[in-house]
Amino acid sequence: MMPKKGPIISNLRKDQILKSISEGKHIDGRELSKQRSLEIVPGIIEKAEGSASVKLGDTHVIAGIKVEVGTPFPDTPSEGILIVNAEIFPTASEYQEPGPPDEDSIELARVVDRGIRESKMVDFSKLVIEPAKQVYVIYVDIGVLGMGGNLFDASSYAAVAALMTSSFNVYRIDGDIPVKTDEKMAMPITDFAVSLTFAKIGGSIVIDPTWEEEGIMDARLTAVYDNDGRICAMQKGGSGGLKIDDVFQMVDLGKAKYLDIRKKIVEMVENAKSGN
Amino acid sequence: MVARGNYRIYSNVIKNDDKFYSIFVGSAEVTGGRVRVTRLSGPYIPKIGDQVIGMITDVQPLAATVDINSYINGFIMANAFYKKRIDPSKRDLSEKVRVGDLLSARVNRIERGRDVSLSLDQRWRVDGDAIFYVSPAKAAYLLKSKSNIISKIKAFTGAGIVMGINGVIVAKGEKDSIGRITEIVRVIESQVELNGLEDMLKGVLR
Amino acid sequence: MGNLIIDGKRTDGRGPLDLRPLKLEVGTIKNAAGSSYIEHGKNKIYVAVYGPKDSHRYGTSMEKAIIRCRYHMSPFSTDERKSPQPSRREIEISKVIRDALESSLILDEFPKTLLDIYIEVVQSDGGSRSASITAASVALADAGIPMKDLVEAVAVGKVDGTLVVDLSDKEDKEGEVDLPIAFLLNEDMITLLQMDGKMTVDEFKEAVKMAKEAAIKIKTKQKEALGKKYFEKADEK
Repeated sequence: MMPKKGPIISNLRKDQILKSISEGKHIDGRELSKQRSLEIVPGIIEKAEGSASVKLGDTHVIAGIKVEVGTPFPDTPSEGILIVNAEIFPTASEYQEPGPPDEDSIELARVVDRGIRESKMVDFSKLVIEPAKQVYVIYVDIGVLGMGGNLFDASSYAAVAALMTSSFNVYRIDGDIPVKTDEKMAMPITDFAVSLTFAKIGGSIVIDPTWEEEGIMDARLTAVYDNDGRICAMQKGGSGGLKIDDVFQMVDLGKAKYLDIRKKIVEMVENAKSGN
Repeated sequence: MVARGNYRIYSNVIKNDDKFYSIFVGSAEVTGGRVRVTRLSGPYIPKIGDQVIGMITDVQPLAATVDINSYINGFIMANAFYKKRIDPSKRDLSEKVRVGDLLSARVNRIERGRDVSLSLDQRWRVDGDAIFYVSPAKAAYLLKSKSNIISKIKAFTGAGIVMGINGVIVAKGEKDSIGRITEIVRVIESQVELNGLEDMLKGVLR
Repeated sequence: MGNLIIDGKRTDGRGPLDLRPLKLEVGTIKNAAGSSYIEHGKNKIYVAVYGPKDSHRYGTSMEKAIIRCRYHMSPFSTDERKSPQPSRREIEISKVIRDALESSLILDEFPKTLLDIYIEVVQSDGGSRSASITAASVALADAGIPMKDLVEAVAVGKVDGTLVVDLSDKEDKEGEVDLPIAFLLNEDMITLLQMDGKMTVDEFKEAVKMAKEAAIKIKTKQKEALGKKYFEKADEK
């Protein structure tokens, strides 16, 4: 038997949530198309090259950036390397067992990875020390400390905010060996993308589902929007299907909403930068 | 340390030489030569006779497992639902309950290391419009209140309320009533000292 | 060696008996039965306690709840990225932390159950195991687990021939002795004791006394943190 990944929700509570949604409100009282409160605090881990703590409702995620030096992939000799890793820590809920990353953690890492990569957020051509030999390897490690639903968006915002505020020591080649210098370099950021997750619950489409709502939803869709409102990554989740029209409604809703969230992220990141 | 000297232990206290220490985060009381501490956190600890609201988490042909908001599960035999022995080749419990159903029950047997045996209340099916949780310590305090605080809450909110000593509250009523009870639950959870809880609620209910 | 103490001051300006700044919060992880967050020096550590919970799995006991403890360092918590897989060091520390905490707890009320203690070090510094114990004990109290007393831990060391309390990372790495100790103060008991380095028996005895003094200070912080969640003032426990 698969271990259960969330609480069993009482039938009464299910009805309560469904009734609330049919009346146009999430169970926590917000409009269906409204996100929960979002708090982004960059720079919380001084030892990392970049970091951010994100609280999206009850979900709490930390992302940290570490930069190392390595050999480029043979097919991209003039590009740095991005590695995204995620772990839902067992602190997050009583249903999360310690151990190697499970399928949920791996899916989470891969969806965040696609959002960063496909939005061309990081200019990898600037992360080369010596072509074909030495490049910077950017590790984005995501840790979920508290589970409150919609890990995709929270993790994506954490990774984005950590990357935007990161800087690292420059390496120089001495002989054949890369040597760390005291010179600092800011992460070469060109653009960033905004992740938005929708759920289909009892015939309605909602933004930013809570953990309980994810427990009773039919299906979920995450779409990642770039600065121009183009979609650069998507992931459908949940064991039910989505009607074609549902999917269209979701991506339209996202198009209407992504700029607001983009502004929030920029504001919180800029505030942190000017505070330093 | 809650007290020093020659007292008798009443509850939740350990003695070390002549000093008494609380074993929980709680509010201490020293009266009439006795020391007691009321615990403020932690799981519900079942006692025989307790009335609880539980949720079915697993249905077997002849028994159901019930989450009673404790460190241990409850269980109920199928007989309890039929009030007689049933023939498992003909009937099974899935026709009576499903996972996620709420029920009102009483703790009737506790055996160390085993699930807690429950018996069904007369009107066992719990139905309503909203469910709330408060800490078991507060639930016990409110249910034992001498001024019948639960009836006062019912009268004030206009909602039907069923409350288990394990901290589960189910309310039934119109939207406004549910709104008022939501507010009352928030008050209950925000008040940390049990002693002040009743007075505080009386203030809100006025 | 020889530059860790200058004019009686340590590299971060502390005297031998001074603790690093310590901040402790209770109730930081909503889903947990009990939780805490500690900042001690540069350590930043979250602790979540789940349970005791019903478990029919192999390995439970009729006598008492069985504790599982995981001490884990996030990949970004260190100067060099740490592999996410638990290292031998983390596994050993998980075990000694479990042992340090278990002797404080009264678990016979919860047979056939599991009690999980999850410690996530999101930034590490010297003394992360001590800070973890101090924080985990508070999280256990928050979870309502009956206990004889809170446990507090601190490392004493010898640097430049002088005994000092609450080693920094630098002192831990460059000093002569690292001696982490955990106390159950009400019982006058030690529940964790590790040491590496060399010291005389008399020095060791002196070190234990210094650690105990430090533990008394840490306990005040623990009670304040619990008090902040449960009472306005912190003089109850």
